[in-house]
Amino acid sequence: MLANNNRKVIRRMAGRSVRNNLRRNLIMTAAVVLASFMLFCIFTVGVTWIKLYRLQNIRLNGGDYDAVLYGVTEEQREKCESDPAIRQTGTVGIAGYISATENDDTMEAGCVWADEAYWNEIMAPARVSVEGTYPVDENEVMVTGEGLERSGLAGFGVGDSFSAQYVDAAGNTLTKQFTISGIWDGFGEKSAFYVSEAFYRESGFQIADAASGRYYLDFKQTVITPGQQAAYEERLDLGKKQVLFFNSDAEYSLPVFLGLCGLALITCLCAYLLIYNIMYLSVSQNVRYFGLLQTIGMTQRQIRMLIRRQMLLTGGSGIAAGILLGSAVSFQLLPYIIRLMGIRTGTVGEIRITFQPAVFLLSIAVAALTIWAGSRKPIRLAEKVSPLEAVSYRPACGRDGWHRTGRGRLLWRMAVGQITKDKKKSAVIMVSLAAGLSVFLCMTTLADSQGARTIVTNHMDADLVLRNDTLDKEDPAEWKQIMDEEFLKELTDTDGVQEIYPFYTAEIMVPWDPDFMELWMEEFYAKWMNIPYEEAAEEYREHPENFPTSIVGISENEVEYLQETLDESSVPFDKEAFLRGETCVLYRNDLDLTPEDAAGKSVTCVAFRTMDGAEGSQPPDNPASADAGSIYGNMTGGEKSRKFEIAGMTNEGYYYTGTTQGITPTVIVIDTALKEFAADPFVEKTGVRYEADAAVPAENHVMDLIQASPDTSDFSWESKLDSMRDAERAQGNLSLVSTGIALLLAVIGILNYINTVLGNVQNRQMELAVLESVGMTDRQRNFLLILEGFCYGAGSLVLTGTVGLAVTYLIYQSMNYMQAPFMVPAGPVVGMTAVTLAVCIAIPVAAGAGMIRRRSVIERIRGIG
Amino acid sequence: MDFMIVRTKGLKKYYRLGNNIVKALDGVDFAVKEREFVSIIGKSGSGKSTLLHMLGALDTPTAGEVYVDGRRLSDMNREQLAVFRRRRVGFIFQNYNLVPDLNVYENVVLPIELDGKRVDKKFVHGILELLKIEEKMEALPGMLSGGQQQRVAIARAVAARPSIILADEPTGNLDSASGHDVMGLLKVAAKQFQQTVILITHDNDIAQMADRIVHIEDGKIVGDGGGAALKKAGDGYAGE
Repeated sequence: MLANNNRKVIRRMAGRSVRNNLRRNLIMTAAVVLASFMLFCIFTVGVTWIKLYRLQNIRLNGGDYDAVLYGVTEEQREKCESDPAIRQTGTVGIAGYISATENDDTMEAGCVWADEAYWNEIMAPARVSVEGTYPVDENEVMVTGEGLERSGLAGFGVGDSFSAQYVDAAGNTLTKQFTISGIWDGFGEKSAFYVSEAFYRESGFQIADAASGRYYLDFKQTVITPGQQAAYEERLDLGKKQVLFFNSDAEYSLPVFLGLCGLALITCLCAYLLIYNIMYLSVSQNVRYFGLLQTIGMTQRQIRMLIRRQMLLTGGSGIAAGILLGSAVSFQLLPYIIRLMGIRTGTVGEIRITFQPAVFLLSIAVAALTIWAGSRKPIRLAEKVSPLEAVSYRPACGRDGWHRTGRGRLLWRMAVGQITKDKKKSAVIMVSLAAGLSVFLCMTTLADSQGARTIVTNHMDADLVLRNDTLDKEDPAEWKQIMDEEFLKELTDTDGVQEIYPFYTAEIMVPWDPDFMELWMEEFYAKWMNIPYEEAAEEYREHPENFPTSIVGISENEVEYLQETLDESSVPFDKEAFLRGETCVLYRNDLDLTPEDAAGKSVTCVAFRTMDGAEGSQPPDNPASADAGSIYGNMTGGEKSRKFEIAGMTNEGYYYTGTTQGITPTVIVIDTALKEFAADPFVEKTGVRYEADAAVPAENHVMDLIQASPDTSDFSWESKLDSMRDAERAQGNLSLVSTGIALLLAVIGILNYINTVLGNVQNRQMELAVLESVGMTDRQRNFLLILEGFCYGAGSLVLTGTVGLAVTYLIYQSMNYMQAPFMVPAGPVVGMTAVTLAVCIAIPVAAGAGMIRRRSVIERIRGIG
Repeated sequence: MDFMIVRTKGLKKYYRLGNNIVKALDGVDFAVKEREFVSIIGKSGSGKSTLLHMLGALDTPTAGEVYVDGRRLSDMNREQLAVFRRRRVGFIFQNYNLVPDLNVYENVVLPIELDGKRVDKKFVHGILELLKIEEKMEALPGMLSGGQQQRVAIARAVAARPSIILADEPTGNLDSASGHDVMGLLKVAAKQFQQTVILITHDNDIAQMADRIVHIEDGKIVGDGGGAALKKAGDGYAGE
C-alpha cells in the first residue's frame, strides 16, 4: 500500500494546535524554557565551579601541580620529562634558612631556589602580583611583603639591601648583604626568601636529597585514579628516603569527578521530571481531543507524529529561549564574580565566561534528549486513547473496584486518598521536588563544610597557637621563658578565651639500649641519613649527649586528642598510666616502625641541660644501664633521669618540635611528669581556644597581651582567623557559586512542583466543582488542598532527609579531600523546610482559588473553558 | 395559601458570544410550591438548565432574584451559598457527578459529613435499600452501571434531607427501562422524605410523571400547567 502524504495536514494541525491552545502550550514551553535554562546554567556555572575549585586548590597548594617528589635523581627527571602524560615539571631546592636579619634576631625563614619552570609556569597562577624580577645574582632575593614584615624588614622595597645571617647545608652560619630583586604577592609559602640558582649552587644542598629537593609534577589529565598514582610511583622506582606525594585534590580527583557527575545526573533527572510531568498533564487534559482525532480516522502513528511535531515547535522555541535566558544570566552574573576574584595570570586567567560551544551543544543535546525521554510515555498514553473517550471521557472515572468505607475526618481521608490514588504520579511529584531539594542540601552542605572555617585547622582545631621563637636559637643561652606561669594565667583569664593547651619542652638525651634504641637508630639512619648507622653507632653508645632530642609535656586536656592520633595497635592505650607519668608516646618521624616494635619496651630520658643553658655532667660510662632515678645532670631539683614505657607512636607533626629535633625520638609525656623530671621546662607553644562567637574580640585581647609582654618580638603565632581570611581569598567566590547552583536547583524543584500541582488542580476542577455543588465551602476546599500540599511537602522532605541525605553524604565523602567533618548547615535546611512547606501548601490553595475566580460552579462541572 | 419554597423574580442570564448577546433567561418569574413535583421542558438552548442552575446557586443571574425558603440567594456570600446547597438542595446531574475516589456510601453521606453532622446510618441504609443499591455500598462509582450511578446520585441528593431536589436530565444517559425505574425511585423518595422536586427532562413520558409541567422557550416561560404545557410544547422537545 502506498503511503499517503499526510505530513502536510499533520504539520498544519500541529501548528494550529500550538496557536489555538496558547495557554496550555505556554505552560509547556515555559517548562522547556525552564529545563533548558537550568541545564545551560548548571553546565556553564558547573564548568566555572570546577575551574574555581581548581583555582582554590592551586591557591591552597601555592602552585598548579598534582604531585611533588621529595628528591629527584637525574634518571627520574629524564623519565618524567619524556613522559607524555606530564604537562610540565618544576624544581625547587631548599638552600638553607635565614636565622636573623638586621632587625630581627629570632626569625627563621627558608631560602628557596625555584627553577624557571616552577617560577614561571607552576607557581604563576598562585601569584597575584610581581614587582621586579626573579633573583639572578647570588645575593639577590625575591620576597613577599608579609615575609619582609615577619623578618623585621617592613617597608623595604625592590632594590633595597639588608644584612642577614643564614645557615647553609653544612650548618655554617654566614652573614650576607642581600638585595631585594623583586616582591611578589599571592598564595602559598609567603615567608620564604627565593634565591638565585647561583646562591643555591653555593649552599651545598642537592636536589637529589629527599630532605631538601622538591620536584613538582603537573599531569595533563584532570582525573588521576589511585591505580594510576601507584603506577607512577612504581615507575619512578623511588629510593627509601624518597616520597611521592599527590596533592589531595589530585588524590581525590576521581571521586570529585564522580561526585560532580552525580550532581549533573540529578540535574538531568530534575529536568526530565519537569518535562515528563508537564507532558503527561498536557496529554491527560487532551484525551478527549485525541479520542476525537481517532474517531475521524487518525492513526496512532499520526497522533504520535502530531505530538512530536508539537513538541518540536514548543521544544525548539523553549530550548532556544532557555539558552538565551541562561546566557544572559551566566554572562552577566559570572564575569562579575570572576572580576571580584582578581585573577590575573596563568591557567586560571582563562576563567572567563565566554561562549563555550561544548557547553552550548551539551545543553541543547541534554535538553532535547530530556524532552524526547520525557515525552515518550505521554505519547504512548495519547496513542492508546480510545475513540470512545471523545464522547464520554471523565478523567477520574476510570478507577473501579471496591473500597472500604474510611474512618476519621472526611477531609483527611480525601487528602490521603488523593495522594494514594495515583501512587506513581504522587511519587513523581515528590521525587522531583526531593531531587531539587537534595541537590540544594548537597551543595549547601558542601559549600558550608568546605568553607574557610572548616578547611582551616590548627592543632586540635585551636583558634590560635602561640610560639616561643627564642627556642629556635642555636645558642641555648638565648632561650627565654616568654610564656611563664604568670603569662599563661593571664592568657587563661583573658575575656573570650575558653581553654589553653600549653606545650612544655625540655632538651634530653636518650641513651643507647639494645632493646629499642638500637632498632630506632638503625631505622632512622636508613630512612633519613646519608651515612650508615654503623658509622655513628659507636659514637652514640659512647656519647649520647651528642644525639640530643626533646621531651614534650602536654596538659591533661590534650591527652585524649593525642590518643586519637596514635597508630593502631593491638595493645590498648592506658590513659591512666600516661596521666601517672609511667608511659610515653613517641613521634614516629615517618619511620617504618610499627607499634608492635615498641610494645612493652621503654625509653630512658636523661636531662642534661639546665634552664640557664649550662651543660650537665657527662653521662656515666655505661648509659645503657641508666635507671629511673639516676642523676646525670647538674639540674636544679627534680629527677634527672626517668624511664618511660612506650605506650604508642604518633604521626602528629605538631609534636615533632621542641628545642631540639633530634635523631633520637621525641618523647611525649604528661606535663606533670615532665615538670618532675625537668624543674622548669620551656613553654614552647600554647594552643588557645576561644569561646564560641567571641573569636575576634578574644584574639584582639590576646594580641594586646602579647603586645604588653616585654618579649613581644619573640612571639609568633598561627591564627585560625588569619588563615580563614587567606582561605576565603583563596576560595574566591566558590561558595557563592555553589550556593547559586544550589538555589537554582531548589528553585527548579519548586517550580517543577508548582507546574505539576497547577496542572493537577486544573485536572481536578470538575471533581472539586462537584464537591462544591454538594456543599463544600471554600474553606473546606482550601483545607483539603492544604492537607494534600502538606502531604506532598512532607513526603518530599522525608525523601530528602533520608535518601537525599544519604546521597549527599556519599557525594560529600567522595569530594571531601579536605577531610572536613560532615555537617549539615542548620540555617539553609530550616529555610529549605519552611519554604518547601509554605510553597507546597500555598500553591494548591492559590490554584484552587484561581480556578473558582474564573468560572462558575456549573461551568467547571461541565468542563467549559 | 401554599408556601412557595422557590420563587424567581425577573430572572435574567445573558452571555456574550462573540459580538452577540445570548439571552439564556430573559425575565423569568416562576414559583414552586412546597413538596411539588415540577418538570421543566423545552428545546435545546431554551434556558431550562440555566434556570435550574440559578435555583441551585450553581450560577449567578445577570439580573433578577431567586428566593429559596424565603431567603434571597443574592444576599448570601460564597460560604453561605455552599452551606445552603448542602442543607437545602440536593442535585442530580445527567452525568451523575459522583466523586470517583469515594465509594457509594461515602458519596451518599458526603453532604452530611461536609456539614459536620453525625451520619444517621439507619436512615442512609434505608435510602440505599429503597434505591436498591445497598449491596453496592463499598463499590467505587467506576464499578457501577449508569442506572446504578444515578441511583447513588439520587441517594446523595436526598440523604441530607434537603427541602428541594434539583434534577438536571437525570435519565438522559439511561435506557428507557432504567430511566423509568430511576424516576419511580426519585418520586418515591421525594414523597417519603417530603421534598420538592424540580426536574428537567426532554422525555415526554418522564415529564408526565410530574405534578406540573413548565415549558420554557428562548429564555421565557411559555407554558405552565399539566398536559396543556406539554401540548403547547409540541413534539419537538430535545434535551440540552
